[in-house]
Amino acid sequence: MSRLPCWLISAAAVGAAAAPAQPPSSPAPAPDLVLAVGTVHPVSGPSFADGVIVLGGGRILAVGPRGSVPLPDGVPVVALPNGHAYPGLVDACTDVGVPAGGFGEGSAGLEVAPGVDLDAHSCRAMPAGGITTWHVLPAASGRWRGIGALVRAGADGGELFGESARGAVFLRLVGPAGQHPIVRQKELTDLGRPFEEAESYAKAVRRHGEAVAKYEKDFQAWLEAVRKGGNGKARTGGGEGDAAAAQEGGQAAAPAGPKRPTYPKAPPPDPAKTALVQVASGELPLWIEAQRRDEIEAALALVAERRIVNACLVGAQRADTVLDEIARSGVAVVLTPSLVPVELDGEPVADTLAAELQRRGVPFAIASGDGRRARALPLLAAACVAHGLPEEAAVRAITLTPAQLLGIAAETGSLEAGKRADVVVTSAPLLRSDARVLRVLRDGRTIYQGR
Amino acid sequence: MLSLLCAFAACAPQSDPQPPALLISAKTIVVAPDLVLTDGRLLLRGGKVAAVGASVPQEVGPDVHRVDLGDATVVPGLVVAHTCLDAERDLAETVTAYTPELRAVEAYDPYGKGVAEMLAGGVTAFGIAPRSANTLAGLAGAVKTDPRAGSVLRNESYLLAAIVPEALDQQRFPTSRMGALDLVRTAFRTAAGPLAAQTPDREVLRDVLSGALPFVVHARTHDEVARALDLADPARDGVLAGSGARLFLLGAGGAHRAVDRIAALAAGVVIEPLHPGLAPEALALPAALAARKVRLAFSAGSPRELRVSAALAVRHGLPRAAALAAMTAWPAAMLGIDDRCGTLHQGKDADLVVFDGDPVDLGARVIAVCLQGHPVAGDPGLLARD
Repeated sequence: MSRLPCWLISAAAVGAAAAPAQPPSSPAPAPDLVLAVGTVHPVSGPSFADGVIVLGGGRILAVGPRGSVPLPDGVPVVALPNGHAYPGLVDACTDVGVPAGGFGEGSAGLEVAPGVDLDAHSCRAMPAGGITTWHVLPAASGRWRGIGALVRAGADGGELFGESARGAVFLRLVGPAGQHPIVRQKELTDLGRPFEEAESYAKAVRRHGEAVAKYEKDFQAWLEAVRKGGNGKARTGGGEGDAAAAQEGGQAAAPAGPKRPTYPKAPPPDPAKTALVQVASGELPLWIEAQRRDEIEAALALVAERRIVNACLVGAQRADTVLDEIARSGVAVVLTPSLVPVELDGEPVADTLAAELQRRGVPFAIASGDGRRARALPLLAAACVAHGLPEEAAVRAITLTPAQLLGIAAETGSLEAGKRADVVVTSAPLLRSDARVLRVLRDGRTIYQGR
Repeated sequence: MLSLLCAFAACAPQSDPQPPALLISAKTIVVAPDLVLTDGRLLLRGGKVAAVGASVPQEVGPDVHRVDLGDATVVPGLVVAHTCLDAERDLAETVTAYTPELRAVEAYDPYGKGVAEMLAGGVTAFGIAPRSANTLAGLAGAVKTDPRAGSVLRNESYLLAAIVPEALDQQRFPTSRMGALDLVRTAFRTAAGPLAAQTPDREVLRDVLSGALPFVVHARTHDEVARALDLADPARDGVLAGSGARLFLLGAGGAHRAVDRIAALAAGVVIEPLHPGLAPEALALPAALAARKVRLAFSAGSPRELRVSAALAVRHGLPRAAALAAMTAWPAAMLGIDDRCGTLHQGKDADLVVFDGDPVDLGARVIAVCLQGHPVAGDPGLLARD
């Protein structure tokens, strides 16, 4: 098991709290389906042959080798004796479902979820690739782009994950090609300022809360005084500059008693600052797209300066130059590899990034980054195997690790009792080219069946 | 990559004219797509395959270096049917559309960009072709992936014609697909005429008509493919119909509706590089063609592109054996170099690649490459004596 920072666990807990489909206190649901497959790859533990997965109420009730798991009576059994069962794949970063026009000007608080086209052809194609959950990053302009959306595959288009479907706050630091390093350096300074502004906003909100508490006390006191005064009329502020209070308090001013308090003015609602406050508290993950070395260093500096506990680098094509710094910083990485060689600023991008991160114990996910590649997610992982990544780590990078990075590992990402019944069964080990998707279940329902 | 290049430089064949005799044993030896040995043996001597499987004598001389490759897979050196490498301008003749006698091998630089990468990725021979920058673009040749001069196997492997949009040019004839097809028809009719004078271009066209040279037409969309097939269709009075010409298609990605007609009229299809963003029908086309017994090969600019194409084709239904054939025996036959390359039958060149898995899976790595008996890439110590 690779080393995971402690925030991953807390993030998983947050995810569980955000989407509690099955409160732990409720009685265990009745089994309604048994999957019997040739090999089970739970990802959270070692693979085993001749496995059985018992599903019920949209959840996994039990997983294990045949014989070790009590088989319920009278429940339909789907037997795929040559099949390989994996957890439904999780594409950590893609643009599947994003309308062609994008989202316009972005901001840290821009929610992508309402803008995702769940009926898009690309969403309907996801189950055929074995993907049951994906994270849509905002295709907005600007540096702060918004809050990504968590989408679930369905038999007939996508569905939003949970109430808010909120993924990560997305910050993009990638400069245009050919930009002079000094110009870019200037662009990359002062990244912490929005957090400072968010902090003072949070203070203002807090102060407002305190002021409201005080107002309520004062108002009660004023009400008492008015009742005691008996004439039903209370003295208002009455001052020339206090027009609002004068309006609220009425025209007739009583000569004695406490002033009627005025309701404190609330700071205007600011979704962007609210999102950053949630990032600072670790409630929302912060994903930073950074490709070049200086961009990655700026991202790491921001994470360290603001002590962000739940941060992740996206892309990180030049991470090979700063591997040790990344390992020290405790951030995770979402790689978006390509099947063909890629160049950045005229220099080839190292193929060995995934293997190097694995060697240093940095948690990483492999994502498509691009809806057109999403269905080839297992091939993207397989290509990393050719450059030294162990096969199990490659499978983990498209299942459990992305679920952890997105804070939904209590719900999906591995075949474990209690998680949602997201299962993909393939005709051969997943990373092999001839692995056909035989069946995909999401929340226990079959949403795709291959030939 | 750097280490591979260093290994390559260290073992450059010119330093050792006579390769050592090698007895290779491995879990899987793919002699040919239809002959796979399990726990087999292969004897290489004098740069050739001396014996395979049961024909390898039990006792070999003390001069033979024995290598046990364990669980590895040995396959014939990979062959790419069509590539232009990075020779963008050297392989593009744009001013006139009719240049059938041009030879792409004359623009081939064995020390150029991409050749070492080809070798490190296990490609030991490829067809170097003119770019599709004009209509009758010229002759593709076949070369060994070998930086030595004299690596050319054939000056003339096939004639390439292109009716894709990039072969048209608004500054000269033809500016349209109609013009391009007319140019092709007229060229063949003129060359076949009894009174035509013997010129180098007409000799090439006559070689095509006699079947001595394959004719490869670059056509991508359904329409382009349909018109290319018309050239060989007797029902459409095709200019090649009734002659011995062998028509191949290059591309054909949009032709999933023409699969039956391709099977009837074309001798084979060279698949253009596949990538995951293509339409599912385009990705499933190799499987559909193979199911109708159409022979396949790949066009690729790099070994990675070749393996990605094969992996995607297999993911969309192409059988593994057909994918491997499309990377070895079939392109070798199409290029006319199957007397030396494409399989590891006795007497063939000792060009082979050792993978740590099935080359059709992207997770499989090249661990050694052997060119005419010389270890040239991968782990330098693996196949070398001491």
